Amino acid sequence: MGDDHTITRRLALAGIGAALVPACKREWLPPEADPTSRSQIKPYVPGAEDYATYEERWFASSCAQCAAACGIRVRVVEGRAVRIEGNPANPLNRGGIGARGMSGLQALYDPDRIAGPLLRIGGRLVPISWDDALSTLAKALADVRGRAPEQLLVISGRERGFTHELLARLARAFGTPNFVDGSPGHTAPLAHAMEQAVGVREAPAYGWSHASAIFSLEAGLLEDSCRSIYFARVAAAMRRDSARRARLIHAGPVFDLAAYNADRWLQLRPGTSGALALGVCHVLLREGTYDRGLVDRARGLTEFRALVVGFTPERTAELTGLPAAAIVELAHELWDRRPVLAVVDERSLAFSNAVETAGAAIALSALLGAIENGDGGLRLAPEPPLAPWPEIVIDEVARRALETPRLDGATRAPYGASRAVLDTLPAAILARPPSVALLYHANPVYARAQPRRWREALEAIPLVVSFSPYVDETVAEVADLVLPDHTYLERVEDATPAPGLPRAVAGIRRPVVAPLHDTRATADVIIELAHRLGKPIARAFSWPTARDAFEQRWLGLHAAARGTIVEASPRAFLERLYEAGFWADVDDASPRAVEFTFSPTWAPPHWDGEPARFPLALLPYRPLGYAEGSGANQPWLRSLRSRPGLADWTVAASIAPHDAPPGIKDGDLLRVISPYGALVLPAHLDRRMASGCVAIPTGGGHTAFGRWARNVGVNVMELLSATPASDTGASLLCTTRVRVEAA
Amino acid sequence: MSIRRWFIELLDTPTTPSRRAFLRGSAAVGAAAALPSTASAAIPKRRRHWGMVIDLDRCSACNACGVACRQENNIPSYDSDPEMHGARPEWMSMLWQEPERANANPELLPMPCMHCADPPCVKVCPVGATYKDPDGITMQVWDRCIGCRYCMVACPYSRRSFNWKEPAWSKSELQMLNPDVATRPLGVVEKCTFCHHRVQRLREEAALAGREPTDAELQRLPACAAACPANAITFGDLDDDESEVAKLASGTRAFRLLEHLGTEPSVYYLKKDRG
Repeated sequence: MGDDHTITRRLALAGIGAALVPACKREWLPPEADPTSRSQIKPYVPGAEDYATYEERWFASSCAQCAAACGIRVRVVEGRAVRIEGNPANPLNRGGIGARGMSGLQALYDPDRIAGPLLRIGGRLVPISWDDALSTLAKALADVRGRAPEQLLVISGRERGFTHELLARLARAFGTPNFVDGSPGHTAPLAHAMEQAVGVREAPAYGWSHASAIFSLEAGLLEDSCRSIYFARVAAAMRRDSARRARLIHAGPVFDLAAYNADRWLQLRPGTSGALALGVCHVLLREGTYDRGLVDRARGLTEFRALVVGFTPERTAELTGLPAAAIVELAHELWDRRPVLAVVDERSLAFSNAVETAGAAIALSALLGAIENGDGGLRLAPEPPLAPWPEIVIDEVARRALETPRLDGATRAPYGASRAVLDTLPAAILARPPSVALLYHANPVYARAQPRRWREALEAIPLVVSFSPYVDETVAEVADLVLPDHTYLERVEDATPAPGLPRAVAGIRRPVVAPLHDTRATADVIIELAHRLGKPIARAFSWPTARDAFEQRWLGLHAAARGTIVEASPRAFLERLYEAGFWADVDDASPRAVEFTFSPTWAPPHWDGEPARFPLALLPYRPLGYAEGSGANQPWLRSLRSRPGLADWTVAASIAPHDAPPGIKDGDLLRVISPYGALVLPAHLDRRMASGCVAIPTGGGHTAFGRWARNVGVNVMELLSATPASDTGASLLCTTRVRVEAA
Repeated sequence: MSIRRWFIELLDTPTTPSRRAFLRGSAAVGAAAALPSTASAAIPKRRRHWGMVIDLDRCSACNACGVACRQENNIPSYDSDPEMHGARPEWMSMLWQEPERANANPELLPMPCMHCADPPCVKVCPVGATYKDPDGITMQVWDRCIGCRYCMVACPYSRRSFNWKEPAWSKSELQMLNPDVATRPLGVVEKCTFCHHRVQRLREEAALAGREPTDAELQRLPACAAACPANAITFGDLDDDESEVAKLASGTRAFRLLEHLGTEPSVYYLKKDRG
């Protein structure tokens, strides 16, 4: 550090007195005036030397605690991040922020973070230098590429983002077809249904300017969905700020926050909300009350009518368990209140009939005239005008290897509409183990169905590399090399929000504190690796650092010369971008003309396990806050009740009293048995649960992942069937039957 | 004058711009320097009745308020020990209320301290550790508390928590503590302060500019209100008829909890409007 200048300013502000200061060397100062001597009273913080005593600064950035990527402001005092707030300027969250967003501080300051690269030697992870770690990996990768590039397996737990794209780029330049992506909240079925209906393979956004009802089809609307913060704002504004109070109508089997908040809760059988949507379509078509402009032009209407004829209110009532009259009444109400936001999300799509459910919801939106309508409804998610990276030139080695069949069987029957399939991987790995696996934001040894299978599979791979900043189960049990990432408060990165807002937003993340440990941003590690691998891979990574790569794309926003930041020079644009934390279009995207196609199908949800032995449907859910377990190391999130009526720090099985074994009281231990495993956990007798169901939150039962995560509850993933959805290959949470016994 | 009275008056002495505010950037320092030395003391501190309105029709029970409060006020998590379930300090948390009628809906209420105008907790404190601030905030002086927990028994809203353990912050977690709020040791009672330190800071900043805080600045001032994605929480001066909080509190949907006890809470709820 430039001693004299920084000390001058610091001391002046610290009230030591300006007279003392000029030309002072640190060793001449009394100990209490030495900035590094702060450690005498408080722990020393990296980066604190740039701050004056008591000085605070605010940085705008974007959240990375879920895919929503809300805008945040971080308060940093003397180099310590002490507060995360919502950024009021960001059009996505307008200053609001969720429990997860604020707990980002605990992700940063997790006491059990990995301090630097680790290598497994003799079964133990021991620290090594970055140079040794990278040369070890580069050597292994060079060897694999020389033999058979398809022997590299890359798993990314992300669905979007520049680092994710860099990893995909590395896989492609390297020549491996085995790049497997997809987070647990796999949006593949919804994207697939959107592609069939309107030709755009992406989850929809939701416009709401004049909508006066939200119809949630089993959506985890205000609870686990990454759009929950957006919808909390939208629902509040639609209820209180518009002339006509909007209604929230929720159809779902359990009393979750969506049901709690709903003006009307329709309790139906799990996995049947698609049938309900088709039942409503039946009434609308029968009565001729539908949006003729869109529907009469649409393709596939005849087939759709033929399908919907079968969904009379009576048959729909049989399928869903709702009274027939309620279905007719619902159809009338939705027509009366159009435009309506008909919402499906990851929770609605956790059943085997995910694509059918999504298709039915989109068809209902079409009948209600709520597609690409300026007043409200489904919108095509607008893309920010980011500049593309240069095309990769692929050499002959890579070209040949890229044509080898994928390990996971994606893109081929029976997963023809998939981009990646996670659940088939363990068996495929065991049959033909790849040589090297790179895991980015992936902890399959804990977070995927039947984690034990994953452990066996990954153990068969000679070199497993994890980029996790935490000692998660995958790191603790199977990783051979750990290249710990910065947390999102320590790195430069893009933060493109998951679809939701009908306005193009490109968020950015910036370091707000100096890195706490000897960690490196994974994007930089990828580029460094590519450089070490030399031509031709290095040619696809011509940037010196990840930041250069990112800025190249952001300059597309500059070139568009519109939106919240318009500057003459690229430098000035980037400076303002870092300052603002995001770029956004000034207004919502204007409605586009769409060609609508009905692609009608219907299938009831499929359940693994014979009904006679396993009579109850298992409904794992991502609880408020700590989701599929990635927030389990953050005690603030642990302190939230995962369902209304449950205690904090508790993983319990919610079950209707008449479904529980006789004599079981609230809090008594239950044994929940599926065809794949058994767990013992407390019962939560909930008289509002649908009959024939057991609901258990995900995120419990960590055996590693730090002091806050370990040994709290049980891991429901051990019970699950690992059969992916046909066609889309999505991982499904709700496909397993169980029985319960007193433990 | 009783010691207690003296102590309260001491706390109520009009604030001078603190050293903290002084250090906050050169612009602020410049503004302070421009003021006559007596100016800050001469600005009469307007009496306020701080209050809060929580709109249950906006609230979706997302719990952001509770986490914002933990973050702002350095509330410890202790450890994952099951015996601590229900015994961890909570200043702002969701109260789950089962309905009295069988088929009615339950209610989830975000519950901060009610900051009663006539607080039962203050009456029972034997050491004056809890007192009524002249602007309506029920304050707690951690250093004075002897941990008798009479106040916890007296509070009809259960909005006080006892520190059953020494907060076990690791060296790493110590870094994220808010420097504006003191941490509490083992054996004292703690509670919501309406983010008094944020109110104080805003007043100091306004005083440097020679004015009072505006209603717009106050509405989302406490950490819970700032975080709320649904804008369900509004803060402000209940005595100022023009303030948003006063307008909302006089609306037809407004009610207070256990009003029949005569505690006169400063927290109003707006009831759900099941359309």
